[in-house]
Amino acid sequence: MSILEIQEGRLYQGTAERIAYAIDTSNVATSPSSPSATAYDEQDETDVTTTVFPTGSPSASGNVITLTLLRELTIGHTYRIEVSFNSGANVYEFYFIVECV
Amino acid sequence: MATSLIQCECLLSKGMGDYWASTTTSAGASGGTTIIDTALKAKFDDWMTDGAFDMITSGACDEEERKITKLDSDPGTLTTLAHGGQIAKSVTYRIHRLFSASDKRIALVYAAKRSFASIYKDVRDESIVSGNWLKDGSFEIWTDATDPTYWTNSTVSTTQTTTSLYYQHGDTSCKLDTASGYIYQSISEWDDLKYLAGKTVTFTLQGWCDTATALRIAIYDGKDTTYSSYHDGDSAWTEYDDPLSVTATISDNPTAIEFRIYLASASAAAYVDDARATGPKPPRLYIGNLGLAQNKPTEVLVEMSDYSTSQPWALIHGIRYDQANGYMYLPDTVSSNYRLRILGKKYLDFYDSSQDVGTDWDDTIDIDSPQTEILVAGAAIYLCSQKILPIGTTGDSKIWENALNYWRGELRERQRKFGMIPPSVTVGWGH
Repeated sequence: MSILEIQEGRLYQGTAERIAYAIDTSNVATSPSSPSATAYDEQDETDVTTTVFPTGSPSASGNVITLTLLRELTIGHTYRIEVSFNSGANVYEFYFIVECV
Repeated sequence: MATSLIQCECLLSKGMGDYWASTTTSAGASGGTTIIDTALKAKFDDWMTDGAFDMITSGACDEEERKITKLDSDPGTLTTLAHGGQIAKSVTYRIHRLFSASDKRIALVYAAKRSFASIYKDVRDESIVSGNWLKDGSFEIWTDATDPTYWTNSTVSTTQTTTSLYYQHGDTSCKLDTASGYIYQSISEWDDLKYLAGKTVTFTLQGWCDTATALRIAIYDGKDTTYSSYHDGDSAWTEYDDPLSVTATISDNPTAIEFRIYLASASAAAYVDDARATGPKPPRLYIGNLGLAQNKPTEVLVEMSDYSTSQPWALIHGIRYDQANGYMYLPDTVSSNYRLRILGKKYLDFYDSSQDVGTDWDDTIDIDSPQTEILVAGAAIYLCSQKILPIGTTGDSKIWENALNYWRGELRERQRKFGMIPPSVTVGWGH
């Protein structure tokens, strides 16, 4: 597992599911700010952010970044969600994988 | 929050324009072949389709379904294949012109699971304890009401107990009575216990007993039996922080490893719950009985102190799952002997009053209006799909294709409007 990947490893989500993922960053950085998320369909590496995160933008509170509802996934496709944020003067990035089942 | 299968069927029938309910105004033929109702005078004779069925909903023939062969709107007589007896006056009945009630039942049961994850049942379980070597120490899993699945009884009687105040943990406890003897969990019930050879283990139990020197626990390794002290017999539960407890070092080469709960008096009654065996870190915890979708929780939290009522509990990151077999592997950072709160989603189904899956009309599903609208749309799609299979004629198939497309649109709309808001999934970054 890459050090940039979340601890839980691959996540699974159904086609009809809409899930807001919240990421605790306290093991690496505190008080995250200005989070942004980009989603890629790993089948062809296309940017599908506007499809799977159609509304809103990520927010940060305490040491937790909360993404908007991840939705409209296609069964059998795997998505890489890349999240970047600021903490003090530093900029961090991590990702997680969601497989649509 | 529960809706019965018959209520769902009514919603489905109304949604598909296939709902007619009425009450007989006279007794039918003695052979049970007619239903007489003057309300049928308001219908044309050809209102009745070739595939129409009735369903009696009260009286001696309750829940019987029969094919309707003819409607005579004057005087208001339905002719059907013979019921089990005469259909009396003032009996309620339904007419299903498009699909029989049984077809609709099959569709609803199919749609219950199929509609996941727009609708689902929340799971919130606190019966599992971190670091507990015992499988089902909380006595939640029963083969039947007198047989705990992962415990074996030796002469003493066991009974599943769900009466409040007689369980401490989860939803059930185990009652011991009728004969003296003991129940035990050994390698036969749970193979992981073999890893305790040569280890020092503490076995604890919450117990209630009405007789002194009757209830106690023991660890047996095939050679030695190490006992705890007895329960006071004061018809009260042991204190949370003072359970029955025994510690023993199991032989390096044991011929058995058993955790036993004794009832030493045939006239005594005892309730036992929250059995824990702690020592070295256990390899895995069983969560397969919780019915979680794909055996995976959305979140697992641990209490901050033993039997804590304070909130919030601490979120655990880095859990690994054996989804095929229903096991959970906690990271080493989680201390032993604390309750876990497992949150997740479960597929919906219809359940009877014993919480067994069923298809009786009074069995219920754990959703309410308007989420039932999603279930209905899923069931309607199933029924329309059956009609466009190659068994139908070309013209019929076209009509049902149109209906199928309509219901697919309806399902999307209802999912958008009434879909259950999923719990957020909190994950951790940084190792």
